[in-house]
Amino acid sequence: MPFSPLTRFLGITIVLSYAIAILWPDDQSYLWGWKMIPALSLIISLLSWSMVRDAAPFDDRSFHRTLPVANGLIFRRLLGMYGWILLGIAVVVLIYCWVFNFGWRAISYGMVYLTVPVWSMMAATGLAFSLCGSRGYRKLLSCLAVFFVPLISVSLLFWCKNKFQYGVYEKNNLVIDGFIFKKMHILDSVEVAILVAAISYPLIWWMVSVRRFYSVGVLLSGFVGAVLPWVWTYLDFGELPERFYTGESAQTQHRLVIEMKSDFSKDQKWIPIEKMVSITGLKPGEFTDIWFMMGRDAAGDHFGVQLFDVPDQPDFGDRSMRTRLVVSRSADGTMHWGRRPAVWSQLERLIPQHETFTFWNKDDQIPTHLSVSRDSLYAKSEDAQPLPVDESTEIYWPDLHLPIRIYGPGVFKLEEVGIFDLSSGGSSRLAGGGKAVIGKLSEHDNHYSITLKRYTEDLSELKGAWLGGEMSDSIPDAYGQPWLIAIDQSGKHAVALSSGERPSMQFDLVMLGRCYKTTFDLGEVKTPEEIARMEWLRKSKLYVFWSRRVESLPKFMSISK
Amino acid sequence: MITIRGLQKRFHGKDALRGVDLDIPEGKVTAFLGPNGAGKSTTIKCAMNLIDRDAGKIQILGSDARDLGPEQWRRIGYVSENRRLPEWLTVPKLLDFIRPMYGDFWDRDFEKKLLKDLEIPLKTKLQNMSRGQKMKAALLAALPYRPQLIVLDEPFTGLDPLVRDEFLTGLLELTETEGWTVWISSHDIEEVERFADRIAVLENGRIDLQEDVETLQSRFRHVELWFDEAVELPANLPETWINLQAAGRTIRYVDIQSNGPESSTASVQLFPSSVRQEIRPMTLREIFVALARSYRIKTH
Repeated sequence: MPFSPLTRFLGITIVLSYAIAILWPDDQSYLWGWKMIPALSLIISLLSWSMVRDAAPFDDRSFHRTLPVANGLIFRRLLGMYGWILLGIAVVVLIYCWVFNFGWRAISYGMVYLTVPVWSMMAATGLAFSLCGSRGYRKLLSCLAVFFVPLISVSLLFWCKNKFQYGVYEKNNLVIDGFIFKKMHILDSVEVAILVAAISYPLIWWMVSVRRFYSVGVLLSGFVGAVLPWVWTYLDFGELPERFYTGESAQTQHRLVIEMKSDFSKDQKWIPIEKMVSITGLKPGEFTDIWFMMGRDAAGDHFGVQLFDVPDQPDFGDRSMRTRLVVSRSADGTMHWGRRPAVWSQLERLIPQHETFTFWNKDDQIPTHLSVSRDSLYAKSEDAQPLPVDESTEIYWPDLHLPIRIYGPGVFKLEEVGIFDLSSGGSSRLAGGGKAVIGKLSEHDNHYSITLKRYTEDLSELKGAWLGGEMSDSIPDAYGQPWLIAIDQSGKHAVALSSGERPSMQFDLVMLGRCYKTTFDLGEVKTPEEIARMEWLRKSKLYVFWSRRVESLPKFMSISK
Repeated sequence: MITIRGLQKRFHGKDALRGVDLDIPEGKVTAFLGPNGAGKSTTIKCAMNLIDRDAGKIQILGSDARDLGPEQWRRIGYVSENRRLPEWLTVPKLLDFIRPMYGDFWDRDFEKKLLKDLEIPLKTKLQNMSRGQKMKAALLAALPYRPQLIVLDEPFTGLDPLVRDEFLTGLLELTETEGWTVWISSHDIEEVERFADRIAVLENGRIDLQEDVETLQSRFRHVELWFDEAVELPANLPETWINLQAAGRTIRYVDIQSNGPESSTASVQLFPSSVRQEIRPMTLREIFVALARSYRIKTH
């Protein structure tokens, strides 16, 4: 049967709904899509009704039944219409991923994630209307099997088990090392139910429409309808290993090795980190970023190793800042400890030749040294009470013999995001995937700032284990951070706008990804000098870099004494 | 062309067809008659495999009705008042859609001739057409491939007399020219008497009569007897006399097995006091009405 204008209109409406929800220039528009699922279900049902009404397999008034056309052909035409709609949705996903420069994993996942539930719905409603398009008592029987059996099953489930899962929510929590995680499965019960529907309903529909097995169709659709609520509630498939929760890589061989030196002095208050540990395995141009190290002594008590940036000049006294272990290796094999030497020195080489390199914040000019304080070795971190120095260092530190657990994202490499005019901002597609949007230099109540948005694919919420991926790979840019350098019109003076301290990076979940929004506060401008400085900046070129993770770290590292 | 034996169909526990035996011979126009609700459409739908039968056998074009497939449907033209046409199409679009299904069977010249003869608007969507125009469009869609069998299920329902006449005239010309086998159902003999070669009457779920029109007309006679005085109907009258009516000095009946002089002699013998008798042939309409009346009397 040719498709009626109503059928075509509804088909186009479905695709357009997806296009609007996904491609609308608002990061949160996809959330409208979630809210519109009931309306979408209604439209899909209407579409199926409209299509099947024009080619009902058991309706004695059906036009096609008195034409020289095989039932299979009619069925294929219906599937073809559905196929075009699903293709339209897939194209919308493709366009979206192209716009945000997401990779094939996001594209494939997005296509499957958005089309399979729709397909299930199409097949279920197609089957329902095919059966219910019968005449006489069969119509009633079909409606009972298709619509009432699932309701009865849900009622039974609720009555027997006092339970029915209406949506996707955490059913069980998982505790790993004291941290609570939402328990996930390769396919959770809702996904299994959708998959069962996506496979079973088309098969039954085929039996009904092509082979004209009415009774078998009614029985099977009733059976599937009865089973689905139970599957939806209970049938999780495939437990995920712990590393999916902790973000640990499945990689067993790590090239990064951290070793504790045994000859460091324990007398001074600040111990430069390079005197205490050695790090090997970094390639030239890479740096590692370790957020936190935590150990456990022989007695089983936890302690943390805290690092500080300690000013080299005595004038600055104890103005030390707690920081992370950032270490890089230059081409000549020299190790650079601390953020400034490790990263900014690399960045200087990545921008065009210049005469001066300074920091926007004057305090950042002060040379510092990455050090460990003996005071920072805390015992019993559960209650966060530091022990006296002599006890904490003398008692616990030498007794350390168990592996230290490392919390840190891994090994990074700097990647250029783009060069932008600060007067206008701009956007850039990133070589490693994703997209950056740099706002222009903006002012609010004399405060100036630059906003950077970075879109990166994120399959973690959708379980990173898609097509062989790992959770740790699912958001490769999540632990990276932006680095900004402005170079004036003359090209002689470069200014690092950010201190390199990890900025507060809020992120919003967007479809198949995250949008990290980072605002660089450039301070309040009051004096004529400050205004002139800001104007200087406005006319400058902004070089934006992003540290991109190239390898994750093992959860445990043996730090030998 | 079609042979139906012992066809049974029940709806909601009630018998709609109670053993229909029917033959639709090749090359003839068979009018399938019966009052509303007699089961004509049900019989046709079973024969076309549009609804499943409960019992019986149906052979159509040499195949069981349940095996009707594209091969058979290329040789069948089906028009029904209940058929759901794609009403959002115009006639040319409708023809464009179905034409490829018939391949070489489709005669484009014949299609053009039909388009011209049936005077169907070409730019109007089916949904905006009158009922008569829709039926013509349905007929147009069922003829250009020169089907061997044309099945028309109540094609005249709701048509005004002028349209019906046009439709009939067109169909009549075509059946005569093409020599098609036509099976046409109707609850009104008037609609089909002009071109029916054969009559089948369905009554209460069974075939009560199926016969060539000539034979039928030759054996049905209307008899009217006049008397000098008022008479009463005697007992033990022949069963072949139906619809007996005594009104004053007149008796009327229909002899369904009239065989000329012998029948006349029989009436004289049974009614010796009759002063005059008139025996005349009946039109198909009169035969159908007489039968319908006799069914009603039997029912009551």
